[in-house]
Amino acid sequence: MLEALAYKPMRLHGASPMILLVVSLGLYTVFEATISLIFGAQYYTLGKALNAHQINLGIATMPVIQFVTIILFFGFYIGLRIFLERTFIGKQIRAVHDSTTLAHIIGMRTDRIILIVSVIAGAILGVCGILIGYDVGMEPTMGFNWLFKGMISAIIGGMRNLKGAFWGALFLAFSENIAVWIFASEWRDLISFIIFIGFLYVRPQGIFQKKVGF
Amino acid sequence: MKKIILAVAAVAVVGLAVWRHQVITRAPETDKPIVKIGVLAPLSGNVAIMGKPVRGAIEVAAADLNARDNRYFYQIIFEDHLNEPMRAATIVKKLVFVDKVDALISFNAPPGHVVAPVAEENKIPHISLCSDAKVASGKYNFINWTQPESEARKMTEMIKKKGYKSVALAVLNHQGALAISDALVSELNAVGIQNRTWTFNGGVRNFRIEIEKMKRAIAPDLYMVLFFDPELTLFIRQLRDSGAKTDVTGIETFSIFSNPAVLSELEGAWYVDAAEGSGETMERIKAHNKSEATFDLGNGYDSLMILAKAFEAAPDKAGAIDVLAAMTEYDGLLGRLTRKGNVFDSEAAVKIIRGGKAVVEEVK
Repeated sequence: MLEALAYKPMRLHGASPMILLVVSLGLYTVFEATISLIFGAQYYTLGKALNAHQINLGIATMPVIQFVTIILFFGFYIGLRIFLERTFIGKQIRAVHDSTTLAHIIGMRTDRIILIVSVIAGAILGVCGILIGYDVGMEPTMGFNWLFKGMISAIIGGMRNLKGAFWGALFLAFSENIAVWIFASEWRDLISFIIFIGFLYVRPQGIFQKKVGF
Repeated sequence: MKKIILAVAAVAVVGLAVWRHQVITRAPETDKPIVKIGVLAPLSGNVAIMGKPVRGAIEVAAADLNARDNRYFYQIIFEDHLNEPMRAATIVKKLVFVDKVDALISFNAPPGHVVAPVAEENKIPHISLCSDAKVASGKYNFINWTQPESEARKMTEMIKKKGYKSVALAVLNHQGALAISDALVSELNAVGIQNRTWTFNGGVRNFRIEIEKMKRAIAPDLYMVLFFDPELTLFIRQLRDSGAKTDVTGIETFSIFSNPAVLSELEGAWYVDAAEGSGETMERIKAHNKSEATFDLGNGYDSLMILAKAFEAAPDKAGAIDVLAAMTEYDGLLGRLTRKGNVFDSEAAVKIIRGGKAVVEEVK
């Protein structure tokens, strides 16, 4: 809906990616405030059923919800890779990703492809939100922190790269939790930002992206 | 057309803001001179569970005062600081410079730290409802709250009575919680009870790793949780999810669950709380609030009464601070409050969870 009502009209008016980013942040604020007005700004937990039982993997014990999250993390990655590499729509998405202009010139319905990507991304984010809700609860303002961590993961792995986002997220999650284990919970976000700044300084293109020269 | 719509929308927004300000600060119909009291409390968000009841208590106190044959009429202006110091900084300036209040009441330590210097600079008496005594600095700033030392003494007494040997403290990085934990650690060390503190920044949602570290570090037989919600709910849930059946307690914390379901899961648990009033006035406040919550009601009610006592006894509004400074004790809803420095201290209470509610009880 957002794609059809907000982003597509703006693209048609020639809005740059930066403008679209600013618009998305504005919409984020509107949605956050609307959710707060309707449901209240309080924190909500979605129930205990998925946390009440622990799964023992020998080297680690975790609640069922975290096990489900890990399975879905790998599942989404493998599923998306197969979708992008083996299906016709997936190949069209990759073509639009490489060059929207060229894809449009050769007759692809680029707006439709962008709409499909928006729907897939929204569906995956919806599942992620529900998993977080069951794991640690949810509140209207929770989104920005996760958005930021997602961006750091993508930068670590290499922007515009599915494999990079996957390994970047794994690397960031392990680093944060190991830091909490060795030091204290106050180090969690600090470690994220140290890694983020370190990558921007040493390898801004990320782990899996080749350096582009001028 | 678009420009017209935008202009109409802008005018509507400005009009709405002006109308709201007029409604909130409208002068009451009275022949008496007015004393304006600004109240800064969390009236929305996760900490509203503490702010909304105190608002009700102050409303009842104001109604009681204005029904008496007092010299002044007391007008209360409530503002929501969401428990955010930055928001409190803006609001206190609005209350002082726009509404021109004669006194201030603020809730919780971080906003209290922001309000205190403004009150001092503008010579406005300010009573903060918080645990951190540092807020009561200067001539114009006071605290009306059961002090951490009183609560820590009561808690240590309970820990000794119950025979606990090792206590893990999970503490929010917040002035009030840190003041309580510092007092408690010093009391526990004095009687030789093993303890260790883990401090958490606000916003932590996953405590599982730290809980495992606590278990391995000192094998606690009691967890002391000094958080607000949602961290409080999440910590206790994740502790139980980890399989730990160990007792959990807190100082003040169990009174401020925003999720009543968690309280019922803690049936039989005991904790130490700030003083709680009783009697007909408390019942009236609860009826006014349409809630059984008792946390901070007495402090809110008594704070306004203390300020009113000072204004009524002083020759003029400016002299209220001298009456306040000379007050050594006050008999209020919380019993006898004794003045230590600029702090009105009250007796800590032990509460126990019965039927999903926290009740004051003599714990064996």
